[in-house]
Amino acid sequence: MRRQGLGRAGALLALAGLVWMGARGMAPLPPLGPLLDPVRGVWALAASAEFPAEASSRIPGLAGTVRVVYDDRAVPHVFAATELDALRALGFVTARDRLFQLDLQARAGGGTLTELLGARALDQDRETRGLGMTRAAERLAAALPDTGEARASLEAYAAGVNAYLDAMPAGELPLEYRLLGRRPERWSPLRTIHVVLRMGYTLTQNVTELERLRAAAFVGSAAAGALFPWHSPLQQPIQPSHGAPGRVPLVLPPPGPPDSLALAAIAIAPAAPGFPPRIERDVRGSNNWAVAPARTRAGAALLAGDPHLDLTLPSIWYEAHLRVPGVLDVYGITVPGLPAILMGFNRDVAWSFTNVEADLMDWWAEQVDDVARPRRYRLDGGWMAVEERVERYRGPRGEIVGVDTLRFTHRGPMRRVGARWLSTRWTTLESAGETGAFHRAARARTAREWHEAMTPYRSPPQTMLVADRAGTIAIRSTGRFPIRPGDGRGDRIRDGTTRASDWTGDWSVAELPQSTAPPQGFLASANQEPQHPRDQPRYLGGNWIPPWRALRINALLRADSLTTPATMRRWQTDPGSARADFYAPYLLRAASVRPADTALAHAARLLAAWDRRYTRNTEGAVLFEAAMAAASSGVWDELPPGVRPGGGAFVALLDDPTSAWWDVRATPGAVEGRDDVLADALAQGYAAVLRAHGAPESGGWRWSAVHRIHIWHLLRVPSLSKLDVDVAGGPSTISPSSAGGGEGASWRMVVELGREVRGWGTYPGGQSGNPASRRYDDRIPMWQRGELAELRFPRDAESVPTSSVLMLSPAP
Amino acid sequence: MSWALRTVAFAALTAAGTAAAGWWAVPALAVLWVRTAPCYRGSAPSCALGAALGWAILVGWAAAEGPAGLVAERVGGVLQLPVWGLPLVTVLFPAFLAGAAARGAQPAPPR
Repeated sequence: MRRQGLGRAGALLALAGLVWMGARGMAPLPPLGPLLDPVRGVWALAASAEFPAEASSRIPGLAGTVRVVYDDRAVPHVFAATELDALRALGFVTARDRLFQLDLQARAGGGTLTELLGARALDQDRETRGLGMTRAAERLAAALPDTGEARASLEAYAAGVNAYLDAMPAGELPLEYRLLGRRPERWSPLRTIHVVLRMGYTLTQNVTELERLRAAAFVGSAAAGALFPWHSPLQQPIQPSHGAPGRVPLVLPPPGPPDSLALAAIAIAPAAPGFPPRIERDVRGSNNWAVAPARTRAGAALLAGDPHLDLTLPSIWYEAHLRVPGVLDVYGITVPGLPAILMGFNRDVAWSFTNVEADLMDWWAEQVDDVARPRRYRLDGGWMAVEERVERYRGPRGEIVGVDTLRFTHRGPMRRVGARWLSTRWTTLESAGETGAFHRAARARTAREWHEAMTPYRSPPQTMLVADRAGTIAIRSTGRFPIRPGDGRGDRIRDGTTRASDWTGDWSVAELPQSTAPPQGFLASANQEPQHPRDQPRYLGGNWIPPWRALRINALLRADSLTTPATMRRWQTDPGSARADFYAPYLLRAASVRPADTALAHAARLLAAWDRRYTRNTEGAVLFEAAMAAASSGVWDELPPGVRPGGGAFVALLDDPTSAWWDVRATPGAVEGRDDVLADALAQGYAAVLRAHGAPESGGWRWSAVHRIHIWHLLRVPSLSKLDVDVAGGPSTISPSSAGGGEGASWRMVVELGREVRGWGTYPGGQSGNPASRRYDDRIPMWQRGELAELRFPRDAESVPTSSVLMLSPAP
Repeated sequence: MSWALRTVAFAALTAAGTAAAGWWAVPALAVLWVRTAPCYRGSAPSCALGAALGWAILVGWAAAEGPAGLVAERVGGVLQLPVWGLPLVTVLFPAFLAGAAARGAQPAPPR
């Protein structure tokens, strides 16, 4: 009897534990009951992996029935009666495929990741809110007119997303929510603005003020200024500048004594602030190019585009076709959360973007009344009140996980750097994305109309390339570029005590870098400095990425006067490298001055034998990259860790073989020159590669064995990611990718604007955000091979090879 | 009713109950089962096996509807389980739940 009682007590105890595990989980395990439930839990993801052949739902506010036909690539073709209905449907289908991604991106842009992920996301939320993104989004949302196209389109999209949320069967709740034990949040226009600002954050890369300050603290202001030059020493602008020299002289003053003011400013500063996101700038880059009919085999304009961003699963892009008879017929890619097709084509025009890499954020040194708790800041001889805003970060159960007091001047958010307070102004915070511009552009019939429609677009600035069926190609860097007072430069911290330091206006449309139908018959951009300094006296940014990709693209375009869509596609993954073509001869020449060094001679022979192409099977690329890394370390040994000038300064330095920068600090008794450092770099690179990968004959030097990319799931869950994908291309090839491997061509598209527009494209992922779906990552192999799928662009629903149909009707 | 028949019947009941009311149905049904149809020998193992069988049927149903193998591989991977781990955990969880509930709720045998 006693044994039975004990057995029963044990069973009840076990039951309590199991029920607890089922209902509440035990970190890191989520609640097991709802997770494992075969009907509503993760197993239900299998049933919802593919859409049923037919489905229907309702959306409030729809003017008429919308038919959505999914083609054999799972792309939704939306056939609607009005443009707003098309946007409602776009919200619905995007949520149906990418609900978690929608929510996560909006939270990332709004600084509320902690509510989903807990305190581990606190630093990221702090960064987001500290930059003023949350406050700015609220202001932008409040400033939207109650009537008008902008609010109407944002609300239509939100209605579509929320209609899906209301209708979503339990089995379709995305896996990530099940694992986190959370539910999705309803959509709103504010959340779209969060996504817009997040894009601005991602694409703001040209912020060098603090890096320059840190450099100045070690090598003086004059040297630091030259290390982060205004103009790229190598020129290959997007706006053709015939007869302009390809080089802009840059003289690097020798490292000077530390700048005491800069040193004081950073002496007690924490490590460089986390903004902008630290990336290897030479390995990231978008491209677009277009060819006029006179240079194509078919006599029709061609356009190619491949924006490069972080590669993630699900992909940042979602492919869709919106058709409203007589109004709109546009195909392309959208970012989940944005009610517009961003890049793509209609029946007459095709377009693609690259990031301008302009300087969009400036810093001012503020004089405050109290360094510990500033309440006022000095301005024009008086004091202005500091605006305070208390930010509370909440955890998944609503608990407070952090509190910050943010401060703002009239310019923007303040940040304490050491003993100083800096304020910032950032164009991203002053624009909500202008989705209306995209809608008008999608209806354009010519390249000129298209650019005209995009004129109000402000942020983040993009180099927009467009081609039309009439054969016109046109390019323009569109967006808001501020005008600074004084010398106009934005790459120095300005005096905050006077309004005379503030921005004085924006560039006019006529001043924007641009070209239409140039005589050369082609146009291209690849994040390079967009105008030759001869053509543009204003400051747009500094420390530009060397135009290696642009050089390569233009060389390919110049060499082919009968371009086809197939060659455009091949060029998107072309393994040639203008960078390797430029630097390798310097390394070889340096090695030749030490013929007695057998290891160096062997390394030089291997490098000389390399065809300077980053193919999967090449071996020389590994040696070249190791040598370049060693060269960079050798040259910039005067600078602190984490401060590295862009490639432009290095290019300029090669012209001055006896510059003091070549002297190696670790050898005080000797004075090294360019060839000494480059020869040492090749020798060190060779030794490093031997250590890491064995002898060249071992096969370990193969590029595909060494160079892998990783396409991480948004939450960086390995089993939901695609890791160690080998691809051709390397730093500064047309399709660059980093050794760490998170960036790459996030979308590739080629469009031929003939009698009928034809498009090809793909991206490294899949349309579905459901990891149980074969559409989750089905496009990666094609992307990896550099191939493109033909994009279906039907005029009617009946001509689509249909995988599924969704009927959306007005809610009563 | 034989032990095997009771097990199969409880499997069907668990499958139906889970489909209707979710995972909470498993311990609730086990309690009801041993209270309304007492059988003092082997009730808990019968309920445990029946619950496992019931959920296995539902998983099989899900597998017929879509790529359950991918679910096992990818979701199992998230939980750091091998590919067979998730199906195993999915049948063990209701088995333990039902077994513990049945054992805890089992009435004392008459003296």
